[in-house]
Amino acid sequence: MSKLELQKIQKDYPEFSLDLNLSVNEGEFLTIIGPSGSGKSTLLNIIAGLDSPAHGSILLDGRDITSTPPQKRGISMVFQDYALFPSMNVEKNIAWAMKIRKVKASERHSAAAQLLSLVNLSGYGKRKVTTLSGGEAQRVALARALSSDPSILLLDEPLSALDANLRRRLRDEVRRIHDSSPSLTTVYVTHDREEAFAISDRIAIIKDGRLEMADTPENIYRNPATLFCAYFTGEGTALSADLFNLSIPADTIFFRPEDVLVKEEPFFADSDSYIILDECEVISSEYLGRCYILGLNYKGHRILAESSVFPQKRHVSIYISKNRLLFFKDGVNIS
Amino acid sequence: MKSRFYFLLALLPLAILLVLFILPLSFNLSKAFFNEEGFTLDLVRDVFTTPYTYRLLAFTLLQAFISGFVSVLIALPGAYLYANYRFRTKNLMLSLSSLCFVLPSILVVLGFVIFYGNSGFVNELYRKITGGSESIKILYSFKAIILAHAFLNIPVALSLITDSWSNMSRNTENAARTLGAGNIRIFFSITLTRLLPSILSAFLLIFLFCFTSFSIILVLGGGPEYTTLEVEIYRTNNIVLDSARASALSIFTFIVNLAILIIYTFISRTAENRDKSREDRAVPVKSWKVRCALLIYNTLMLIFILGPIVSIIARSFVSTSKRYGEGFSLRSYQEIFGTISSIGAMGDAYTALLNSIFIGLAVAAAATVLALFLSLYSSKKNSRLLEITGMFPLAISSVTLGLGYYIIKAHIQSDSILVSYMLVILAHLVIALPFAMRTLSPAVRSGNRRILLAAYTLGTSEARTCFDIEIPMLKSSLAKAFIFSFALSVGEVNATLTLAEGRVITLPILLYRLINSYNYQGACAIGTILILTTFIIFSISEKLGRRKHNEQT
Repeated sequence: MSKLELQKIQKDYPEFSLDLNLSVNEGEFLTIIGPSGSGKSTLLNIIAGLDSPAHGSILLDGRDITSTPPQKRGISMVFQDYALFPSMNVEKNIAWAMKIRKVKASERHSAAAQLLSLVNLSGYGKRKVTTLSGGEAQRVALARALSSDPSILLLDEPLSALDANLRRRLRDEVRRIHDSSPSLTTVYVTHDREEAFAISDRIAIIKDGRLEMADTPENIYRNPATLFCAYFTGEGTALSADLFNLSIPADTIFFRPEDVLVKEEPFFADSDSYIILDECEVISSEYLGRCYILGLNYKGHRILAESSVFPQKRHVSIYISKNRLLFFKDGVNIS
Repeated sequence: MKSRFYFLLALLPLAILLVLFILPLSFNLSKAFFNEEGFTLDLVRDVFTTPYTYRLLAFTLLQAFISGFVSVLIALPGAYLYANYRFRTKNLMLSLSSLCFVLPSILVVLGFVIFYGNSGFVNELYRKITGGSESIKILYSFKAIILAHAFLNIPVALSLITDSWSNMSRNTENAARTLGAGNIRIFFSITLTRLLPSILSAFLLIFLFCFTSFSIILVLGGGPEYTTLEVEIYRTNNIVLDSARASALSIFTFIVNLAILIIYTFISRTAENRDKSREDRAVPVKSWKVRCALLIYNTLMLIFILGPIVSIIARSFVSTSKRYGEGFSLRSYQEIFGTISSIGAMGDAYTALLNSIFIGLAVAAAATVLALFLSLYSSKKNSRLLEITGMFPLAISSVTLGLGYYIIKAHIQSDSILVSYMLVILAHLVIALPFAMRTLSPAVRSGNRRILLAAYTLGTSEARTCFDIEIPMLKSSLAKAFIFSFALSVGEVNATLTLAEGRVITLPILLYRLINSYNYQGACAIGTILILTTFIIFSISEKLGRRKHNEQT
């Protein structure tokens, strides 16, 4: 049985209409990604009870919580701008939820210290929250969210306000904290696909309020359900199926840059396993450190290919692995 | 989320507003519809159609417009200097100028008489310089009205405009500079356009204050040619004794006020800063030009602000009485604290001081709490209507309100002094509430809603979140609302005078009496105490505000 079940959740907003089903398993780390304005944060608010759906129901452990107020859901949330209580110091922020539950002061104190060490902020208890850096503030927010012993932890773009290095460090910590409590279910919202791939058990892609796909990072990358998912999860090339003689009734084929071999000299490859395109003109190149991403022009079509070296010649041949090709019809994967 | 809690919070202030404001007001205004023969529209029709009303309106609008215009114009260069440059006395100057805003207007009147009057400091200096015996006539003219209004309102304009200017990041201007725009061009097409809403909102607020200004026009205007609607209502009621016509005039004034108020509420909303930048816009002063400009502006402001205040304090130690001897004297203070017996009004001084403080504290506490509840609800509901409701009493003059209360009091028919006290407190409360609302509701609205949401997800009830988290976040605005309400109550004359019939004596009432009996030393001593009281409360609230500010940066 799934931990959290969103059934036919519907609501109209000025920018989009939310309309989806989604389920999250116990102990799972699920990440919701999508373009801005697609309804990610709204969905999180609905799960937390800060917003309510017009139709549909939310089940937590099989129990309908659609009309349960946020206070009684046992779902806590971390916000992008931390939302720490400015009138309290770090320790009081973290101990707050326990105080509400009338936990004894001494127990609160030790529990807060434990949470602080969990987020690597031991000794910060007496600090004013206004003196914290962004990274520290977000760790405190994380500790505070965990302090109510939630069964589900929601994180709404928690790292967006931080710089790239810190973001990478903290995202690993978020995952470590999730793993440290086996029953904790985490739903994480981000618009950064790299972040999503790095930490998630499963990723849900949302577009215009609708669920495009929900699967493991690898499946999403290797076998995207729609052309939108294919593009949203990484680089790739879509070509019209008319260019090739295919037995499949697809209108578009799609492949990733790393599934293309770039050769300057003749290369004898099995034409059963490769599609071979000669006379591709190199028109752009992007150096990524481990490789180049080349932009090629084949008869007016733009193709992205990965290459470990920068080609000396202006025209190259490419070999596209047939077993890596994805076939789409009307934007939907039919491979 | 349904929030029943905030609705329950708002019920109390709404009910109180209804009883304290709407009821007396409708009692008063309804009088305009009755004559000896019963219901009639003649009175109202008469007031609305006679050219005299429109002449009054025209003058009222004119003086309010000029007062607002002059105040903003004088404040603008100051706002420019204060927002763009860092200098040591900046905070002091800003606090000092906000002090004038909370000074009771009766005190301003007194200060002006002492400072600008015929035998005042300005004229004595003038006579010394010229060697003649002529004096400049400043008081009892149109100039005096504008000058007094400017004194009270420049600080409002200065602090409002400086605030929003300081919060504007320099980025847009720098972007324009990189595109090749010159300084003047940048000022007019970028800085000024972004500043305009707050300039306009400051202007409208001042316009509103001056539109309903009463004692300044009554005392300093000094002539029938300078009669505004408010003064005319007072004159019609208290001198001509035609209360029905006064009520009809009140209706007219109320409608005009309401229109201004609504415009103000809409404009001031757009003036609230959305792009708050964290960086400090102000840079240290380097050039001599700026240093000179600052010196000149600050010196002029100091003379302008401190002149009347210091004259009151100085004059309180000077006796001009033939009987007790001329020159330095502590007599008035000795009279106040009862160390020597006194005759006349001074005998009530100590009681008046206690009354003023007691009434002021009660009013400030009640107004702050009620305004807090109302603005919490209106921000949750995001309702402009509620906000306007809270500001409603601004649209009504204290003269009109006092009349309404007077009518109610006549119905109660109780001789108890307690009833008089209660009525004075309630009338002050209604007068102070809109100011408390105005201070609190922008602060409540700009609060980070997600902090509350975070508390909800941690299992905290709405009520607990509100009291433990939301309200502590408003500490400095609460302090400000408290001091404003206190200052208003301590300085209030009209309603107190109409209502208490001399039984509840407060400092400004005493002041008023002493001015009338030409006991200027006594008046100045009371004035000094009033200044001191205001100053102490003001410093406490400034300190609270400053501490909050430091925490945030």
